[in-house]
Amino acid sequence: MSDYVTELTERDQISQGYLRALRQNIERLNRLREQIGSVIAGQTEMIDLAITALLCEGHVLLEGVPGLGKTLMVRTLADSLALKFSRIQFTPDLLPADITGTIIAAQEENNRLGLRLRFEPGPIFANLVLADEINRASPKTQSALLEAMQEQAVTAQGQRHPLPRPFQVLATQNPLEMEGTYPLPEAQVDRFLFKILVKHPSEAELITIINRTVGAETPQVGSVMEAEELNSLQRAVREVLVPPHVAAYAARLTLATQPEQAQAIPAVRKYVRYGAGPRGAQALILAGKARALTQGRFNACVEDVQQVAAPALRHRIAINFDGLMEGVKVDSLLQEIIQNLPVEITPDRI
Amino acid sequence: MNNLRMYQLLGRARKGLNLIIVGTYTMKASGLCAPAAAFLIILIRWLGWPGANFLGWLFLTGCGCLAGLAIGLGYKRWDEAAVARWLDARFGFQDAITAALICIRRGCSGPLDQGIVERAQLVSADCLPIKWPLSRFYRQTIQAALLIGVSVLALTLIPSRLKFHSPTAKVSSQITDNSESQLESRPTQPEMAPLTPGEIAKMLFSHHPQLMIQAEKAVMAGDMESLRSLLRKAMKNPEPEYLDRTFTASRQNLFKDLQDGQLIQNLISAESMEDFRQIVVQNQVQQSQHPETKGQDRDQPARELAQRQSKSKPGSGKTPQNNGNHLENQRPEPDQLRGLGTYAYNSALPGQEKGTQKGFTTRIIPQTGSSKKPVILVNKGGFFEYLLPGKDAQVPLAGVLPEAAQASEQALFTRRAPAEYADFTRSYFLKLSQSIAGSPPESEGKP
Repeated sequence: MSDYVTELTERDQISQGYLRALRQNIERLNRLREQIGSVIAGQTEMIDLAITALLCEGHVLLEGVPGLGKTLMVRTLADSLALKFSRIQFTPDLLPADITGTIIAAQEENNRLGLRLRFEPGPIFANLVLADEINRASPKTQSALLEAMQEQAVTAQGQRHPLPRPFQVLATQNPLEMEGTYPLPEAQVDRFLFKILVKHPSEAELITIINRTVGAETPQVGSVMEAEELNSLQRAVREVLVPPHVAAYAARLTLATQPEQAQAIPAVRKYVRYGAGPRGAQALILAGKARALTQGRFNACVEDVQQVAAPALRHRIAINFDGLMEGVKVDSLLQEIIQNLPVEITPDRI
Repeated sequence: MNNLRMYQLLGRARKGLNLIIVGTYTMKASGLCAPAAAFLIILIRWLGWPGANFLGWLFLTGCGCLAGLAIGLGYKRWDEAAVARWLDARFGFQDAITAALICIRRGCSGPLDQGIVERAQLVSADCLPIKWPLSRFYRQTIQAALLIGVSVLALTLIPSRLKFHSPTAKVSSQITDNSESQLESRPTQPEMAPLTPGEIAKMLFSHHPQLMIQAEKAVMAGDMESLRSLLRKAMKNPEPEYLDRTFTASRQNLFKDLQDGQLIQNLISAESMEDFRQIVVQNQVQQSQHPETKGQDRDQPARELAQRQSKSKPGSGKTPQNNGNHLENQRPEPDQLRGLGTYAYNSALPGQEKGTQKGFTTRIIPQTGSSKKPVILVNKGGFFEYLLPGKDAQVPLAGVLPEAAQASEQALFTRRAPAEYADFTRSYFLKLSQSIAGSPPESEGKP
């Protein structure tokens, strides 16, 4: 009996210590958000989603016109986290080896004559990778990047080279000037956790941007979180509790995006060519967990799933020709789906 | 960490919510069953079936209430998980209570479980006191109360009106409208019309012609001993197959009445008997002179007696009318009317030849002022008919018929009259009502 009590007490103490450390990391995360916000005016949704994706170890596809602060945000994020940052500007002549790395013959130290082949890591070997204008690279290069994103490793000459942890790719693409680009295939877009639409800043935000950027001093950020602390948070995200009805809601929400499913609303049946798959449901739950943790909760709720539904599912839903002709937006469809999908809070509402 | 507090909160909320659910379902079921039961009761009463009254409605409504209670108790009760989800949704806890319940149930084995429970305890302090969701319960209660009230009102009002719209008395309302001016003052004492010996013999031995003739003679002779022997003889013989048990039971009752002879003595006075004998002798002489008319109207002596009695009292204002082809019966004086109700029976039973075997036909003449108009033609169908005790046939039919129809319906309803005769009774009163409604209204005043 006393052993059991002792075990319980020890477990309680361990748990309390873990929770205390976790709460401190969450506090740091809030400071990180504030720090990025001090550099980038507005774009709070983009910052929150980028941090959420970072906690999920998910990759982000940023879509927006040039000059909205995408690159600055990623660089600020890397500086704040004291993470290794690299930027790859995608061009049509970019080769896969330019990203992943290549085998070179290098002279070993203490041996003047002997040459040895070794793997020279590419720019993808960083914690935060900004793949700028990813749709301008050839499909071969895109595939090399996306394969590395998925596998979290690069294989060269039969040797596997794991990527550093944490690892996150933030790819950008320009919705304009689509000529000469290679749009990402649906199968590859599906590997991004979020697709964030970077919006134009408002008037107040624009004024703030002007004041911050055209002066003599530019805002500087310091490191607020180490990589280990980020890894701890990433592990904690996986521990966040998801009640069964939340998981069921996420599953129903995913199925509701598929036109052939019973849960699909008429608009989905009419305008959607195909909907989100299992990766969509995984993204919903994982992002919901991360969002709950960033808010200091250790359990996900339906509201979390609803909040991350648009960035997690919008790039997994393909509009058919009728929808394109009528200008149907995926976000409006998702909004309609969420409004019509019952939460089923209780078995019998009273 | 105090899990007990969490369970206390969940238990209290669960108890309250389940009470609301049970109450809501009970009210809903009661509100549905009350009008349905009322409709059923009214329908049954309209159809004239027995056993439909306010207690029946109360019973059915109570059954519905119990059914709702059972559904609420057994089928729709919430568990703790549902209550936790309701609390989360109600107070915007972002599933904190639900998650804490999951953690507590699994023994807080997860690394974050303690944090979840602590947060649930923090937020649960905000949900005191709980604002119970009583709107649906109130709505159902108000609906149920309204429906029950309407049902009670319908049960109170509609059955009293029902007789005017039922098949039994469809035209009775028309009659009532026209009959108020025709109503005579009714005698306070019950008055009965006498039966002729022929009628009594027909009633007793309608399917035994020989016994019928013998019984008629025995009645006219006042020989009760012979009549009893004939009755015993008839009782031994099996009844024809087409006579149902109701007819047999009715006749057995009549047998009982006749066993002591009191009925005969009440129906036929000593003075009338002497007149009967004279008429019978005259008829026998006439029938011997005209053999082709023999047996066609054996009730003629009784009707001639009635005519004679009427003529013997010129101041009574009740003058018979003879149209040549039909003999007419008229009610005798009140002092001659006593005893039980009048049975009339036609030997033309269903299945027999109605055209060749003429039945006994009676025409009752109303006496309103100077006009005389036949208002009732009875015994066309060949069944027992019961003219209500205390109702003088000389009273205008319009004044008697609604009450008679109501009494017959009540008799059918309480099974004092056979249910098999319900259709016939309704059609009978319907025909009477139509015949009265088709006649021109009386223009004369009351006598």
